[in-house]
Amino acid sequence: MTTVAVPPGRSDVARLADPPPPPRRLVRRLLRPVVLLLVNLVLLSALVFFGAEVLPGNIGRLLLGRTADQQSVDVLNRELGADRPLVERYLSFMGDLLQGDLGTSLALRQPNSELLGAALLNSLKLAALAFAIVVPLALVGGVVAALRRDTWVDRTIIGVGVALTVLPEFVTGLIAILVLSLGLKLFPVTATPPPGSGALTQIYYLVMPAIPLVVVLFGYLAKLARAGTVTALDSDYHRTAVLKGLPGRVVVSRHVLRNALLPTISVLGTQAGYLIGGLVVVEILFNYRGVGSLIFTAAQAKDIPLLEVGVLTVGVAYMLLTALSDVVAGLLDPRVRVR
Amino acid sequence: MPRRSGSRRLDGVRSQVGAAEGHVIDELLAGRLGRREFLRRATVLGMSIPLAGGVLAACAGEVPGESPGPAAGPQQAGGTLRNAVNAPTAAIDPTTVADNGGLVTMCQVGEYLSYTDSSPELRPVLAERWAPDDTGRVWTFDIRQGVRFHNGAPLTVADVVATFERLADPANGSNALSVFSGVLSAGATRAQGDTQVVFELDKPTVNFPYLVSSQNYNSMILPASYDPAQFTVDMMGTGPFRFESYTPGVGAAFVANPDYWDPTRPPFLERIELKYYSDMQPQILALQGGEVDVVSGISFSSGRGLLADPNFTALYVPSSYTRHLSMRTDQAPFDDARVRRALALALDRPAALRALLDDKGELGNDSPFAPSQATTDTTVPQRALDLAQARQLLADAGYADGFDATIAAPRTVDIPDLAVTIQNAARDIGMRIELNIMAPNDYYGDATFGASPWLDSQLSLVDYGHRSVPDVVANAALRSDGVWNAAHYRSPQYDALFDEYSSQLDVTRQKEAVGAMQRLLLEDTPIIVPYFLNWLGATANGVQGVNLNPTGQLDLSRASIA
Repeated sequence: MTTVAVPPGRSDVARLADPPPPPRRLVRRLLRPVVLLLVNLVLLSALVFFGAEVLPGNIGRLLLGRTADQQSVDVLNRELGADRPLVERYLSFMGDLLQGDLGTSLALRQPNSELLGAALLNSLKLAALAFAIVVPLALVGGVVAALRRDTWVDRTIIGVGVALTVLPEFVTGLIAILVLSLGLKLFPVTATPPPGSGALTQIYYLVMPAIPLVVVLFGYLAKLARAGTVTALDSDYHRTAVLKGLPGRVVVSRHVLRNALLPTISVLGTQAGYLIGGLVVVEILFNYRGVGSLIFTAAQAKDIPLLEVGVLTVGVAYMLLTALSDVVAGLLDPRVRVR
Repeated sequence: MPRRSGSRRLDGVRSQVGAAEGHVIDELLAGRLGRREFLRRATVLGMSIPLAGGVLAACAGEVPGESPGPAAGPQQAGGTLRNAVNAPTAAIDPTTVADNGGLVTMCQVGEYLSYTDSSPELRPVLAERWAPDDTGRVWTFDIRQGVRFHNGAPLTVADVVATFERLADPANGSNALSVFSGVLSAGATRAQGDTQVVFELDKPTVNFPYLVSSQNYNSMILPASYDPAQFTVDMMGTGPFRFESYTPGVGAAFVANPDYWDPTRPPFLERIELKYYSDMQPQILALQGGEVDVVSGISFSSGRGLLADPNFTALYVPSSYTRHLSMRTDQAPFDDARVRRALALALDRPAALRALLDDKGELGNDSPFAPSQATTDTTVPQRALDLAQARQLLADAGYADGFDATIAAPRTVDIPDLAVTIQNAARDIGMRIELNIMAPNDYYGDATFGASPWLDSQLSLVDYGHRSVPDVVANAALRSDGVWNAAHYRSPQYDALFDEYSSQLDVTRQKEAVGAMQRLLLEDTPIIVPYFLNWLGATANGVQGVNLNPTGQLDLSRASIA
């Protein structure tokens, strides 16, 4: 366990010796991501708006159905403004957006802010619960696998974890429903709690949809945690700590775990984007109104304003959570903080 | 003799009815109308169900009867019934509603002039009776008095006129426009006194009462002051249940209306909950998990397991819900009727019905006229599998070595499986068919000629919803000027027969016209109609009286839960 292997590249000492950046560079460094974020969002909005235009059909026809009279379709399209030129619609949408007006859903005729607000809150709750379950599980699993490296324990945890990753969510979701809801009657099939439920009831309703997410994420995160732990175990500071005579538990908790966490945290940021905007299948299976299914139904109905604000929200959430994970990583790692 | 005494008893009835109704009674007595068709015809012409029932009772023993359904046990009052429903895909506005979730929601509060479901009779609701003039062009409806909207305002003829003017005016973008097109124009509905509404149609239309019944689901009667933006806030109607709450995407709730106008039909349930789902599978799981009591509008493919489960009550309702395979009659090789007949003869319909729907449906006979529709001529021979004749027809047409073709179809319910079934059948006679299965939105496109794979493809599969009378589909899908004529079928003979059928007050001649259309379509075969599906649903055991309406409404007015 005390193998010495210094990773290639600059040593930590050399990094720490970099001079602190002058104030002007600091401002530029802080502004740069904000500007990049805005540029990204504008590009994303244009991509969605013009991309959605090539989707088949028009909203009037989609809402009234294929057997409706063409006159009725034309009237509805005019009412919804869907007959105006594309560029004009885009500019007016972006103009409203800049003034803080998220617009109105063409299909549901409700303020996008209301629809999106409720869905985003739901998505965040589910993502938070899934994280709260999977992160400790994956960390413990990864660290244990690393400490028992190349034994059957390691191979079982990582092997099973990675194998489960490839199962589609609707398969694990259905199995969970069949066993836990219909068989053992432990949890409800539908994830939407009755209106006005307390926090514990809400968590109880959310356990089922969280299961397939935990299954998908566990193998990946456990593998990262294992790799981080292995690197930390192989490092010279670990060797030093052991040689100092620190007890094993202290070495693991104070030196190994903290370093093993780092890659896991940065990856969590990217997974949050998936958890907030990409859970169409899970949300539909468990009848949970999140951002993923909202975007999906908006795209199906060619409800472009709702689709736009949905996608932009996921974009913003993704970027913010990536930034947040960087900050957390910084708190854990002084080297990152200084840089 | 029973016949003479029955006829004598009918003399009293005759004095109460007009010439058209008298004619229907004569047809019944002459044996040219069955009980079912008599009831349908009598109610279309405005005879009340008790009166028509009285006629049948007077003729008891003289006409072939139908066995009554099983008697339901005693029903309990009270309780909340929880229903899984497709989430409405658009803002709920009865004038424009086109999706099942919106329809199921609004029909809990609203009512129509009359109601029809899987049985073709019309039950008078907000209209007490109706009658045509001698030509069938002008119809007068007596509006029920003493009915109140849920806010206490009385239902007036002005509300009824406003409802139909709203639907018939092209400026409102109503979804009923395609039904009223060529029949009821804007400005053609007027009040006559305080109790009657008169419709002056563009042309004589014998089945007009269906076009203003629940069959035309947009024609729910709304207050004259109706504001679409307000509907999801108060859902104003006259029905046995009143609006309680609505949360978009989540659900809706309704409570029994203590002031309901019909004391003979008070609701059993105290409360109705609708829970919205965006897919069918979670609805079935919710029923199995005990979270809802009713699931309706199930497709056979997703509900197979549930329907066989003894822990639940499966509901099967015969309907005219169907699929058409249209063949482009204006393009080689399907411009030759022999080629079209060959493909139709290659299909083993009973096998398809069993494999795809577990026999929960009826065989189709390559016309839109369904066995469940009363005017359908059941003496027309059923087309059956005949590979030898099919091969001979292809050879006669000069395609002994077969040819390549493509079926375009939407990816929905049983349609992709049906496309594969047809593909395999075609292979047996040397036709090499490729499939082009698309997302429904891609497939329907703009739903206009030149901008829709559905209407433009060489071979295309499409589904048509249930109708009690065949008028709309027989017109739009097959007449030369039909807006859904994907076969591009042009037959002056068919057009003339259809016009004869739709304007003919004489029952015998109307039925003759339908029979002639059925035979003509078998000869020309512009479309293949493999089967008509049952409308499916399931309830938890202990739930009674749920009336699944294949038109799409979920009628819970007589439902109860133990």
